[in-house]
Amino acid sequence: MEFTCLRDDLQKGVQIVERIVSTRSTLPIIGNILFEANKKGLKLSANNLEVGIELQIEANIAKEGAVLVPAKTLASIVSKLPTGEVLFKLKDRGIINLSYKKSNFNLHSLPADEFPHLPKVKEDMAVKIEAPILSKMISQTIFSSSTTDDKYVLNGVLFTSSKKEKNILRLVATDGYRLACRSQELDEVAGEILAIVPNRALSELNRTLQQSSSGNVNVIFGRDQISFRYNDFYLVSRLIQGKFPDYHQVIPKKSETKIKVKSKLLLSSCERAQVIAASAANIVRLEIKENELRIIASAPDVGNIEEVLEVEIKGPEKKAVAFNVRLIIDALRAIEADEVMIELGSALSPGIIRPLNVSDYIYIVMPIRTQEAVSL
Amino acid sequence: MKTILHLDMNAFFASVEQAANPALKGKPIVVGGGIKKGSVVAAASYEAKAFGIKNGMSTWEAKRLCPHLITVIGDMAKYIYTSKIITGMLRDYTDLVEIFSIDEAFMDISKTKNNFGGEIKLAQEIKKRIKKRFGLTCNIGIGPNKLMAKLAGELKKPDGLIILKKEDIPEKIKDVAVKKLCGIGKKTEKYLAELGVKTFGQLNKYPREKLVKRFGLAYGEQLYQMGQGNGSSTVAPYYKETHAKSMGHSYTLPKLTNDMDQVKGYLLRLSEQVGRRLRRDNYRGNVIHLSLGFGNYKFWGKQKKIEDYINDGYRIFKLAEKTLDQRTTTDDQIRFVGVSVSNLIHNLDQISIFEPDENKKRLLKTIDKLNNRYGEFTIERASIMETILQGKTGMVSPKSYHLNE
Repeated sequence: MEFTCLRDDLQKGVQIVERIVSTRSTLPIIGNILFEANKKGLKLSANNLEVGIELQIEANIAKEGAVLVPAKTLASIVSKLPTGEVLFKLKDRGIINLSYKKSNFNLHSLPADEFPHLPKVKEDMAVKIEAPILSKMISQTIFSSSTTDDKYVLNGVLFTSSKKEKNILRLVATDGYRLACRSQELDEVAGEILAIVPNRALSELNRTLQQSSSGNVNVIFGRDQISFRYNDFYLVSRLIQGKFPDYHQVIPKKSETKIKVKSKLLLSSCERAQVIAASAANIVRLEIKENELRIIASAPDVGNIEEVLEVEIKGPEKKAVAFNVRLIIDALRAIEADEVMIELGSALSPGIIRPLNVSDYIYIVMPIRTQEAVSL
Repeated sequence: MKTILHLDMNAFFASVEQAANPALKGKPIVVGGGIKKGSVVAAASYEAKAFGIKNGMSTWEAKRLCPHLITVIGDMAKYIYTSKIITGMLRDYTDLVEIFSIDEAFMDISKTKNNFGGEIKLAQEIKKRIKKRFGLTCNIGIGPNKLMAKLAGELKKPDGLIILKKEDIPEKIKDVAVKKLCGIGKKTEKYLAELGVKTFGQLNKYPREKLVKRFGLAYGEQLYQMGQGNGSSTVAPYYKETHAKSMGHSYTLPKLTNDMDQVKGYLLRLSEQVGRRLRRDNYRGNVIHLSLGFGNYKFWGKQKKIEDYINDGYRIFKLAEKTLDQRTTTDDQIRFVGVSVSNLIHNLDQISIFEPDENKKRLLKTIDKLNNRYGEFTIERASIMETILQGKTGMVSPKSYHLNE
């Protein structure tokens, strides 16, 4: 096996696949990257048995073949190589020789045959989505998912579509305290989809999609697996098995008070309030009164802050609800709209944040029961 | 001048057992871990003490001193229950009640004693009520500060009531041995004896400089002040305590084991207790720490931080269990298990978006209510009924037997 390629291409490719490589596994072989050179070019693959990535990179193939290279060692050397051409050559007794300019190094490798190849997803449903749109859908939901081990089914984002709304694909994520739901109308979504895709897979996918401005992603839904193909990038992931909680039920049908506010101003206020709130379990109190929204935080040994914003209010005007400010900041950063609508109920009922005049996004956040709220 | 009252239950565990089972009344009994190898006497009844049996002595030795000794396996739930009710009674006389241990309390009665006909009448009434309700006796000492009140209680046992007034010091107690003072242990007693100081009177006359020279500035000064009969008179009711930083329970297993199912059984029970205590005091935490002790006196511990602030014993257990499963070396036999929760928040509850999670909270609240009313462990997980914690254990910290308010 022998090929030449540009250092930058190699580095970019290795970096993308290396991120999912697990070195702490009981199966040492998956700590490697599979290099496959054939007529079509050079393909790099990594597989941690939950997520697998394949990536085609540009290379001049002199001699076909396949080999396993220790991922972490390779990645740290490649990132330090000078720019220019790199010659990759498999020599006797599994030694890989990488030469650049006048220098070179040798690395031990393993035969490729034992590597767990990425599974082919048996297709139940296929969907085609524009890369920037899918990327945004992921960005607007993934942060709401849980990373706590014992909430296993919430460690991912639900991809769902129903026969009732045939061409709508919806992404839903929740950690049990807040929920983000983004809907998108597509040209064709034929039938039922209900798949929980692990966070890990989606964040790797999104890393690649975020750098793209056009093109389609082909998504294939299987019973236990899902795959995403985008140009030369292919990712396959197992699905989280389990029942995602019924998110329809938690979306409030109507709310008492609606507050229209400029997102940037609200975000800045919340960020300032968080400086204080960080020392007090991140708690802020939202108070509304006479077209003003106050964001109040205080921490016993630090200080306090009161942010006042002029807003438009519809509905009952006297309200005070406590929230974890981090959950509000997360949503405001994700929404990307000039104005948002905040909807509040009682001190113990959910708050809603949505972009103004757009119906494709809804964010629900539960309040914090404080001592005052208990005594009410 | 303050009036501080110190109450000390007599042979508490043993007396509670005698009160609960009339067949044990008037007989030499000890409470401990049974007659297994290595178990010790946690508490001896006065009848047993008459045979020379002391707390901390091995059960085997106690049996040798008194062959017809009855050994009773400790039942913490019973003692906590009794202690709580007594604490409740004490609060009828002042809100300044400081729980010192499961069978000891301080009360600041300076401002309230006259409502009850003075300190003597008040103390007599407390003794009478405890006797009537449980058939238990106690020592009460009254003094101008906690040190003197506790000392006064030491002077006549059992069932004593002694008052030390400022003007009685040092004359009335000059012959009392220094080791009776709270804060003077065996070592200090020995060092003081080397200086020729054996009684309170001698300590009272001993020059400050010499004490400071021998014991250092801090402790020397403290000993001198003790000799003058001075001490703190601040009675700190628990609800005024500064916020807890962490809450945990630990347990020393009856014998060394490699049986992980057994270890997990104890871990579950301890976790449930931690959860219960967190809920009682309105705390939640998101750092779960597991610690293990081994036969070779080595320790191992690891903590895990999670997103959620929790107070559900089962979730605490699941996280601790996961940490336990991640332990790589499993050769050493386990002697000790402990679990604690830290990074606590107080009086705050992030409401869950899904109803089942909120229902779980309600369920725990209901179980807590039942256990408050009918005694600790009235309702518990079936899977932990086999892992009864025996005798005096490290699991009970003062907070867990405070009266729920």
